[in-house]
Amino acid sequence: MPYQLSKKDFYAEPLSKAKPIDEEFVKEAYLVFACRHKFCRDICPNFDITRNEAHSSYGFHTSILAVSRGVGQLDELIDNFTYCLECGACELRCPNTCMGGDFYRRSTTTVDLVRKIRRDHMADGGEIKNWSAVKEYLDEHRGFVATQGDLVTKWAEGIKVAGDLKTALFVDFFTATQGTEVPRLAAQVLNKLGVKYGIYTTPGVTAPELLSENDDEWKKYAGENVANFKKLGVQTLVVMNPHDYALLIREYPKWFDMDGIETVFITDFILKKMKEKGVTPPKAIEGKFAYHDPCTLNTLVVEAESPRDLVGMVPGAEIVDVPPGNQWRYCCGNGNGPYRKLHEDIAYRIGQKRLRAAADLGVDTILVACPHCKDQFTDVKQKAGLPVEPVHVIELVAKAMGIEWETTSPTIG
Amino acid sequence: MTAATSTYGAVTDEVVAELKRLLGDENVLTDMHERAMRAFSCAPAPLHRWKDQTPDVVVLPGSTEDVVGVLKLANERRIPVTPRAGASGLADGAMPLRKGICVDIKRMNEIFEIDEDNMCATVGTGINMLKLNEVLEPLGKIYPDDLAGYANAMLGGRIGCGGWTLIGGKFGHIPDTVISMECVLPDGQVIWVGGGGTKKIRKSSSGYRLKDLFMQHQGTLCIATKAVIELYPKSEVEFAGYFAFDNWDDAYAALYDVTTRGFGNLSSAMIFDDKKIDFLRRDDEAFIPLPKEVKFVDLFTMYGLKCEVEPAVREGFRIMKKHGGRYLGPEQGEGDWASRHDRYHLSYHGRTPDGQATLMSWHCEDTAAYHTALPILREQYHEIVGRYMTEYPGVFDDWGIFIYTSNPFKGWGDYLIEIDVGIAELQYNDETWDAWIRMKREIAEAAVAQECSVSICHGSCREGDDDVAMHKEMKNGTFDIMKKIKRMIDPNNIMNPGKYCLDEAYDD
Amino acid sequence: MAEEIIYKYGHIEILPTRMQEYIKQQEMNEAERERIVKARNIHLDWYHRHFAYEVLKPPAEEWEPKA
Repeated sequence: MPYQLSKKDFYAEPLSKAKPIDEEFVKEAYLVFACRHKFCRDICPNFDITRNEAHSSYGFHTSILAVSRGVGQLDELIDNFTYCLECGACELRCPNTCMGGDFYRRSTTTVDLVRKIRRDHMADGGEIKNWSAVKEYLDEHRGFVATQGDLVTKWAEGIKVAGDLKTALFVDFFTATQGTEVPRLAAQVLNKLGVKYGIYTTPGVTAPELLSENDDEWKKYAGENVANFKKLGVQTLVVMNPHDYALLIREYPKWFDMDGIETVFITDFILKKMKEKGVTPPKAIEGKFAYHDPCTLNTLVVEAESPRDLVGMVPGAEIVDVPPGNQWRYCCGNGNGPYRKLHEDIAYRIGQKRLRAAADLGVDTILVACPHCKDQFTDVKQKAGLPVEPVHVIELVAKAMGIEWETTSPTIG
Repeated sequence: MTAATSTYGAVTDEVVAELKRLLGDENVLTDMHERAMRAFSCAPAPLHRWKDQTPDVVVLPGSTEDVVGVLKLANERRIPVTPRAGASGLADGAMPLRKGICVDIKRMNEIFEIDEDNMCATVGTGINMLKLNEVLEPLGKIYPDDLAGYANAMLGGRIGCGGWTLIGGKFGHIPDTVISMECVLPDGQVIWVGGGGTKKIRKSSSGYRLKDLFMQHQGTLCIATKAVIELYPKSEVEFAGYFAFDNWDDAYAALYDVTTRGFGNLSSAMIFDDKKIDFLRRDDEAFIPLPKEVKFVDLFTMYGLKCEVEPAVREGFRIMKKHGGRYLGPEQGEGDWASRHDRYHLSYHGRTPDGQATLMSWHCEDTAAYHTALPILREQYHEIVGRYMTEYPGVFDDWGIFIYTSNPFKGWGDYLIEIDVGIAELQYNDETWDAWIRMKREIAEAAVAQECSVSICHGSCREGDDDVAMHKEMKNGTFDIMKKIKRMIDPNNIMNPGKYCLDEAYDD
Repeated sequence: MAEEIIYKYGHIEILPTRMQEYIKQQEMNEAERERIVKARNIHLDWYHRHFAYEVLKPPAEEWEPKA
């Protein structure tokens, strides 16, 4: 997939309670308000639980427009802007994007807006409720970056990594320390397929949470990554975490030249290699599975095919599918940013609703393609006692390839 | 002093505290941004007067009991109440003209029962049709309320405006597909209105037909909290055929023939007029490639069983071709029909007189007309809007006319004729707002002069419409009865005051 | 009449000169435009499936499919 460049330069100018809202931003807010039909509201998984329309793209844009008209103050709005999963469903469903964004070359960018408002608010001296949990997570991430080295490759202990960095696995903090089964099994599948690769060992802080706090710092890490990719001769970057993938596809090209580097999501990469080599997983796994589209792939990047196609390669495995278009309104509840840390209870209820929908399909397993979805569903399943087990697509494929089914990963950190 | 003019009770700290006691802290919202975004509904609004119609407090009830508590309190203190559901109605029923309490019913979205045996469901009125149909889909059922706001409108608002649906020619409109309703009256009394005294009977000959009274009242009589609605089997097939015409007379004659042929599956038939086609050629991928000789387009849609629709479609083609209609192909039919709900909600449709793209909001002036009035009204509506465009360049824009079938279960007789007007809402000031109201009034008066009705789908309770509807269209005594009913049910005039000219009910 | 538009990479697009004064275009490359078009097609397909199980094709004698 080529890089998706979509950028509004005027977002760089901070909004502040000390000055009137710039006319360009008034139009930006009006563009969503003007529709009034609020397609963005009812597709929002957060609104689906809270039923408060302030917590929607319509609510965000309308409240800014109201402030520009002297109704309310900018710094009073911040609580609203915590109720965003950053899943991108609203901005994609917005007619300004979906029906005419290509024609007019202008689209709705709610995720950017939410991050900007949080950033500008904190830069203006404001606070965000529960943000300390986000800070803590980012500090852990920074600590990981500071130590790098062993920690970043510990997930690969005992796995033969024989290639150079022309094909580099991009394993971030989360997947290297918590969702380790994904890189671990993916690496072994690649070995079985005879694919040579190296591990990129300096991923920096990639968490989208940082874009809500300090985009300059996020850009510093991104810039270092791009410089490293080029210095190390990376030609194909294979990404384990779709949160990183969406950022590499959508955010990096806003600031850096990514020409000459192909960024591929892990399911796409394995599928492509299986097809190139004519390999079909040898072991049948009979069963019917639900599949949950991660928002990062399904709405932010609009690539929903490869996880399904990969499962389709596994003999006996069948997805009881809910099409990607229907899943625009789904989220696991984790979101693509700090949401779960800010609204633990609503995140849980969103996840519960999603798992119940899977259970209604008559399956006992929900396949996922995102380690954050798996983490969230695991948590929700335990708390709610729902009989649906989250399993990563890579775990299924690895099992079908005859790779030992690991339920426990090496202890990291 | 009359009930209409005496001072309303204030939303004091004590009232807020009582509301919190009734509903819980989290369901009573007093922050300015929470209130400000509930100042408007769907139509272009006086943004320059935002504060004037911002409610004092917003409540999010979760049950009938919650609504009872709020209305009793409001009635005791004489505080205005404005119900709000999806807030996508173009008559602005959800606009709180007298501030007070906004009762936002979105939490009341439960599905209480799906009764497949009797083909109906009992739901909360905060439910959205799309969400409901996702639940019904595995059962092979659908609730066919297909409106522009399908993805976001909510049943309570649909009841409040007596909603119209695009495919009502086969499936009926809201008054037909809502079987019965639970309503909370201003004094807190809970009633259930349906066929006679029942919940699931569609047709009864017992007593007055009160369901009709509690439908389309725009929140001026009660708040509907539950409803029993009709279920249909999901259609095996859909077909949408678009046909090009080079003149109005042929497009109009073809519409007549297709709607009077007696099809059982005709869900809708439409005309896109020449100005509409020009407008769609600005940015619509389905219309830009059409040859220049295409001036008008007729559309007919059919839903139902394949064995019935297939031969009916053939007959539809024969009729269209007889009048010179040229079929525009399946891509046009499928692409455009599937975008029917989204088409207008791009904000870039507007053009300044010198051709620059500009931001405009869409307003649909809908009227109910019989067949022979359509050609007259089409010309008059364009003339009215054109005049205001000349007087206020860049503020108003004629986005063309649609004509749709609107008689439930049969295509003939009644039509919806709407002129769509683009409005540079951000530029509204007192002068341009007044101009807009005058324009609306002229359109409404043109309709009434032809013995047509001011509104068919959104309602006629908006400034510019309401006085024409109440004082001219309904001068035959209907408005007098409305006033008596209003005063009897809502003696303190707390329910959505200021709408439908109903303050006059309290003039002694 | 249709406004003059531009064809680019198989897609239609507004004349950029119309987006100079009141509302301006954002920076958007071809990949982003492809993403939007793909999303639109997903959305329109979803609408058809949602209201009926099948979209009926026109009678064969009335329409010749493109080669």
